[in-house]
Formats: sequence, C-alpha cells, structure tokens
Amino acid sequence: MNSFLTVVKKRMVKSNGTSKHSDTLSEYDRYTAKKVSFIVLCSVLVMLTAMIALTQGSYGLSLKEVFLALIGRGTRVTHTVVWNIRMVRILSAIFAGIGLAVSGMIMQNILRNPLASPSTLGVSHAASFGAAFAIVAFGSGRISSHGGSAVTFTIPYMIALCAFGFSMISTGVTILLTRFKGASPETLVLAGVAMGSLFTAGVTSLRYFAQDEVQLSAIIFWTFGDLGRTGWTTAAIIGVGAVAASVYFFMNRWKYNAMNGGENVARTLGINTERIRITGLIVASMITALVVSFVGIIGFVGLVVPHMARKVIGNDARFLIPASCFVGALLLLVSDTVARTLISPIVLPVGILTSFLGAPMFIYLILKGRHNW
Amino acid sequence: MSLISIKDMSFSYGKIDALRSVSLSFHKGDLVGIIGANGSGKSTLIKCLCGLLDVHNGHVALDGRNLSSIPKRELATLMGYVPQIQERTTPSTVFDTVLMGRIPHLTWSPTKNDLEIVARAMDTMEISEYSLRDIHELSGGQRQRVFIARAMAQEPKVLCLDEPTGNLDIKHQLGLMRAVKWITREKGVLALMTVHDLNIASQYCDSLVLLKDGLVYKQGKPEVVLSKNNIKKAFDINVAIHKHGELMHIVPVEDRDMELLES
Repeated sequence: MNSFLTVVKKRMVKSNGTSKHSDTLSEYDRYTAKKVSFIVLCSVLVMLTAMIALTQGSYGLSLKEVFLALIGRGTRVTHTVVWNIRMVRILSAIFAGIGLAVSGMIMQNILRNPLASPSTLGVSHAASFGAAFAIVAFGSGRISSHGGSAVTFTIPYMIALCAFGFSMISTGVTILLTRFKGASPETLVLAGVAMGSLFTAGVTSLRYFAQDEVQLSAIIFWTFGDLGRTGWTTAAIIGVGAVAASVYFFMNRWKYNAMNGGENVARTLGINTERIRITGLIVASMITALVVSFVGIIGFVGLVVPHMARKVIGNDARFLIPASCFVGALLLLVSDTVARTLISPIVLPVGILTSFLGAPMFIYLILKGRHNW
Repeated sequence: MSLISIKDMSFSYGKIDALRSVSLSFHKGDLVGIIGANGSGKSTLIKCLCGLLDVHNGHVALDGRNLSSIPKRELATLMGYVPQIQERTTPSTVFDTVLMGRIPHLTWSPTKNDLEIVARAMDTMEISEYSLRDIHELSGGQRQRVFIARAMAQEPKVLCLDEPTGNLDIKHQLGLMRAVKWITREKGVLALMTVHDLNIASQYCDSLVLLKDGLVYKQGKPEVVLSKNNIKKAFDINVAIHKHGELMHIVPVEDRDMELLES
C-alpha cells in the first residue's frame, strides 16, 4: 500500500500543474482549427467550381460574362444561358451531391460500416424501381425525356413517393438484419447487392412491359443518373430536402459521435441508439429517394465522398457532416462538368462517370479492410 | 447511507436466469470487485447497474432514487461505464474519445470548462502525450486508460468496469487497478468492477461480491470472502492460501498435489 500512496502523491502534484492542460488544449484547438479551415476551403472551392462550370458548355462564356449575367447585367443570351440552362443544372449537382454524400456518411457512421452507402445497401436501386413502377402504374404521357422542366407538376410527387416507398423496403431489410442478426458489414453489403439485383430485375421487367417508347425511355432515364433534366422546381425540392436532412444530422452530431464509441458506450452516454439508428437510416433513405426520383441513380458518391472527407479530417461528426456535404457537392459538380464537356457536344449522364470513378474506389476500400477508415 | 442499494433483483435472458434475488449495497468511495466463475452473472450485474439492461424484477436505488426512473441522459451524468477494450469502435483520437464523456453534459458545443475537464482526466490517466493519436494505435493498457478517462470526464458518482483487466499484461493490470483505486480515494467515486484474478482482487478491492449461479454466494472483505472453502464452492478448484502480512496469495493446486501440500 505504500507504493500506492506515493503514486497518489505524484499524481496530486501533477494535476496541480496547469501548464500541461493548456498545452493539450491549445494543441487540440489547432487541431480543430485545421478541420474548420478544410471545410471553409471546400465551400470556397464549390463556389469557384460553380463559376467555372457556368462558363463551360456548347455556348462558350468567359468568367466576366458569367459574372455580369449573375449580377443581372448580362446580355439576353448570356442571361438565358447562365440562369435558365446552366444554373439549374449546377444547383442540382450541388444539392444532389450534398444529399447523397451526407446520407452515405450517416449510414456508414450509424452502422459502423465503411462499406455502407445508398448504392451498396440497395436503397438507390429500390428507389429507381419505385420510380419505374410509378411511371408504368400511373402513366407517363406527360413525361418528356428532354428539355428544361422535364416533368409536369403532379407526376413527380407520385414518382418521388413510390421511390421513397420502395427505398424504405431496402432500408427496412437493413434495419432488420442489423437488429436481429447483428449482421457484419460484409453481410449487409451482400444483402444490399442482393436487393440491388432484385430491384434491377424488377426495373428490367417493367421495361419489358412498358406501354410505349415514352414510358420505356422514362424508365431507362431513372436507371442512370443525369442532372440535365431537372428544372427549377425539382432543383429546389432536392435542395430543401438535402439541406433539411443535413441540418437534422448536424443537430444530432454528438449522438453520432457517441456511437463511434461502440453500442454499449453510446447507451451509457445516454443515447437511445436504436432510435438514432432507425431515424438516421430513414432520413438518409428519404433524401436518397428524393435525389434518385428526380435525377436517377448516381452511384458511389455516397460511398466514396465520406471516405475522402474522413481521410482529411477524421471521424468527428461535428466536422465530418459539413465536410461531406461540401466534398459531395464538389465531386458531383466536377464530375458533371467533365461529363458535359469531355466528348462535347455529346453530354454524358453523370451517373456513368461516377460509377467509373467509384467502382475502383469501392474495391480499394474492401482490400484496405476496416482498420483505419 | 449507501450509494447503491439493490433489493431482491432478478434478471433473466429469456428462460435462463442470470441473476436471482440479489440484494446488495455499496458505499461511496469504495472499490468493489465482483468475482465468480464464467456465467455466474458478473457482467449481467454490471450491465443492470449501469442501465445497459433494464431491471424488471426487484428494486435498485441510486442515491435514494429508483434506478429505472432516472432518464438515461441524466443517468449518464451519474454513472460512467468502461467497456472491454475489444468492443468495436471507429477510429478516433484520444482527446475526441475522452470528450465523448462530456456528451451527456453538453447542450450545443463543448465549453472551455468541458475541455478543461477532458484535459484533466487525460492528465490523471497519464495519456496527455497521446492526445491526438488514434486510439487504435495505442496498446491495450493505454486504450483502457483512455476509456477510464472518458468515464471520468462524465464526472460520475459510480464507475462500472466490465472485465477491465482482460487482455492486459500483469504490469498494466496493476497500473489499471492503481488508477481505479486512486479515483475512488480522491474523487469519492464508487467503482464496481468484474475481476478474474483473485490475487489482484484481494490486493486492491475494498470489498468483494462472490457470485455463484446468479446468486450472491458471499460478500465482504477480501480476506473473508476469499477462503479456501468459498473458492472451492464457487470455482470448483482447490487452492492454497499464503498470507504475508496484509497480502494474500492464492495459488491453485491440482488434486493430486493436495496431499503433498497437506503433509
């Protein structure tokens, strides 16, 4: 017991010295300041990229012309190109990027699964099946597959509703597997793959039974993501949804942090883990369904972006949520701009590009394992 | 007055009874070791007390209040939990991990006071130098200290540790016991821990609870609970006990060596 008392005394002396505290604290301050500057940097990059993206396209514009058009001093032509054509597309890219990235990040966090994302859990495919189902079931006479505002006012809500409904099925399977089977990350993804191919088969059969070419092309539209067909209304809906979801997630950031410590720790920190997991998955699926129902499947953004952000600023949800949003917006905006200009005048659907980028990254994540994701 | 009092508590997993009419009371500032064979209900007892399992039968009072009536978030400011180091976690720095302990106290973001408490907890657990290292880069002993620091950052009245010395080498086991002992003495915290090593339990714990098949078989001072006879009954092994002043040494003995020892 004597040695014990000397240890106690040593500790007492140590905890009286406050200099060590302030070292630790200022070091931590610098560490968090770095994370904040990364987020600020990303948000600035999003704005700069948006400006550059506004100049790109079949009708070439200079940065100056874009700027003048933005503040309302452009010519009629530049005004139309900037505001009516490109701006909608760029905002859709930003909002869809935010929505997909943040829902992927939340899925990975609450399932403690680096392989989770809207596309790997089958949520995207379920949503696209729902969209196709709505088109076939409720008619598509008023859907045209090209041009400014693609769909009339009533149909998109029906499509979004069906997309959401079916995405909830795959979310439900995920919740059940986690809850009752304690499924491992790999099992969840395998179940996701199974559901993905099930819903893909569903879409294929709907295509087979499609009434006419308009229906057929409308269905195909949802299977690969394209930002070219959003209008102001749909962009606004995606925007409101993505921002609302991000705000909701940000409000719960400490709960997600607690869940980083493991199930039991989170619960003894006063977190109702079950509720957080289920509401988080539902909100994430909702926003995925919203994005998919208006722009189609844009794969891998939700998987890859959170890992990119995590690599730079770590797992702390306080910073990871905003960082994922901005990196997601940036990635999708850059991808879409490249897709628009790569083999101009042909405009590639951005979903094709993100899949080409994302698939190798997915394999890399599997190879790297789960040690330091 | 006792800090925790348990009256007639039972718990079962489906049809399997894990705890049967347990009645115990624990006092502020004590280090209590919970011992017993595998499956005797040690972990279940800890989990019932820190709110991970809901007690359906019997009555548990914390500081005079019914445990099940305390909201979980408030409970988190009264009770700190130290998990086994094997529990799955995602990468996180030492500071961020200890900061988790402030979550039940937070409203929007950590105040200067919260950060101070975190830094102090890290200091007392001697992990300040690893502040920004990932906890997965640390050794098992260091990681266990991080988890204790997190529980201390909760500023609880009770600390529950579930097999904290599992997977640690002997030096780190002793270091951990010393640290927990220090917390009970300096902060007046009641610490409840499940322990496997009877020698370590006898050396550091103020009192022991010996469980057998979900029942409290014996409780009290280590030198009383850890008798040859009790150990034989609870663990079904023969031991020899050597005493050196305050210290006890419990040595397992094979049946065939028993006669040798007695002669």
